[in-house]
Amino acid sequence: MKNNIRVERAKLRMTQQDLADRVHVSRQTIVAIEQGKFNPSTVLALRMSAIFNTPVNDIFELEEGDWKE
Amino acid sequence: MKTFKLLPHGWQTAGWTIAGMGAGMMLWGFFLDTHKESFLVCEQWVIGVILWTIAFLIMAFAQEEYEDERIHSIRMNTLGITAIIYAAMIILNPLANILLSHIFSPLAYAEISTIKGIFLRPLLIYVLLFKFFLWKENRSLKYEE
Repeated sequence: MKNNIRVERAKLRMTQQDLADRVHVSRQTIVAIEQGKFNPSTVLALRMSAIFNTPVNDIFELEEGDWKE
Repeated sequence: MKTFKLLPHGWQTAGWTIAGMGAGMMLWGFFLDTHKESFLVCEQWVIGVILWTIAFLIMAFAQEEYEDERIHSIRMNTLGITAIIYAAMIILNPLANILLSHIFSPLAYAEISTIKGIFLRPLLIYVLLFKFFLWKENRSLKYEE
């Protein structure tokens, strides 16, 4: 799954640690999400959406491989 | 994590300390025991195995420094893999017991293998696998400067 969390963070001049503190996860988790190594839960995605004031669909995007299981 | 209560992170240190003590007892038993055909059931060895069981039980149920959903995900995956490995070992264990009971006294080996097989082994596999997966995941992350 692709995401543009980094871009959204940059708009708000927010560091990874700042975002991690605000959504109550570790910095490693934010890094893992940005690098596509971990998919956030619905709650975590909605928290980010609220902080960035951006719809979830604009932050996260499904890739072709995500349709297969 | 709201639904899964774990011990505070400080208990990890206690767990490793007890594991160290257990390792020391096992080494002591190995070098001091004079009944070489039954060294697995000398007192120090049994105490060592019990200490390791307690240590890994504590470590399995103690939090990481920061518990969040990613750690929970790694924890659940590790539990699943541990269950599969342990199921395979249960199937292969009787074969190993038959072979090893010819080397050591069968009754004596049965006692210690029960403690190791039922209690210690799954805990050991789970804790070591979890630590390894966590280390591997964290190592692969590239932090921005």
